[in-house]
Amino acid sequence: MRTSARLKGNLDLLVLAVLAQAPAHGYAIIERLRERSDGTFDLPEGTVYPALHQLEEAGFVSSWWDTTASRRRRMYALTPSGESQLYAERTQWRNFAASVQSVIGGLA
Amino acid sequence: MTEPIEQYLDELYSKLLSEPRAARRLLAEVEAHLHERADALEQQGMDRFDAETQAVQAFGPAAEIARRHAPPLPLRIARAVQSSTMLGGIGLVAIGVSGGVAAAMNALFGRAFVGNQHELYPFSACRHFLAVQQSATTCGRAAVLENSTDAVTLRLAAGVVGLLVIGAVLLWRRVRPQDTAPVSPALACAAFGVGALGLIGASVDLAFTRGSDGVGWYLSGGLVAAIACACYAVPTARRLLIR
Repeated sequence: MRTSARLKGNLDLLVLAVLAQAPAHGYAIIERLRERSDGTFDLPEGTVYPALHQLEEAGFVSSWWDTTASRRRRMYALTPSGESQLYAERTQWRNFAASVQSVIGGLA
Repeated sequence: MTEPIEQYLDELYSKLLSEPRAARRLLAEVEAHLHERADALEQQGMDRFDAETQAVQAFGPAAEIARRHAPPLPLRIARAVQSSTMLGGIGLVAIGVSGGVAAAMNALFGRAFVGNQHELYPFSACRHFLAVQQSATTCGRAAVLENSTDAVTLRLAAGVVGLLVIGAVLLWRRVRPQDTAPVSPALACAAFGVGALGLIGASVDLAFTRGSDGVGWYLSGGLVAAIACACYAVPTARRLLIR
């Protein structure tokens, strides 16, 4: 399975984790994902925007137009509800990863 | 030479199913993103065209982005139902207006212009017509009076139902603004256009084969459908010309 296909189901978690550091616009989120994964998470860049909009509809992020830069950008930040969601998804992911590791670990 | 970013934005715009505000916002974000990526590539020494081409490729196919950004299926279904219901309500109101036109035709051209259906009625129908239209002395005259009255009252009743339907849709929009979907002018124009063609065609056919009696029955509806079609043709043409 390609990395981008694996990422699809976990994109929300990754975006929330990036935003937990600091508010950012879509371009910066993609850049940070790439940097923090040493280039492994090289998603089609456009996929981050529908994810951000859905997270905002769910109340997990808030957004506003930043007009201070030379180009107008939509900034995103985690809401308190988003922080709780991130905590929950992080816990689920760790449990899942630990289970997978316990199954495949011996086969390596 | 084509501008890859502009071309990509046009393609994305044409594929988006989102509501106008969400679509505008996405397009603004995508445009800023693509230019920022192209600027960065240009600073690395790439020429502008190649930089824009690479930025677009890295962004992903427009169809995929539009699909991911589309509202969920239940919401799209709710919008389709609301839009169709609104069009149905407008259609019923148009039928009501045609009742008003039929009333005017009754007054201007006589009751046979609308009410003569050129039918031979069975005895039971004649008895009903004569009982309801007591001023008539023959079955044929009673049928004309009854038909021309029905053309007005039944259509006006349909118009009232149409107003209730429109009211219900407006209430729905207020309660659940996210379901709001406008009626497609092209679809409305096509629906009323087909109706107008059929009804005006039937009235012309009747006029040639049997004279003016009964023509108003179809013509009253055809005229209203043609006017409604023309009203929706203006925004439809405007959209086509702009594109």
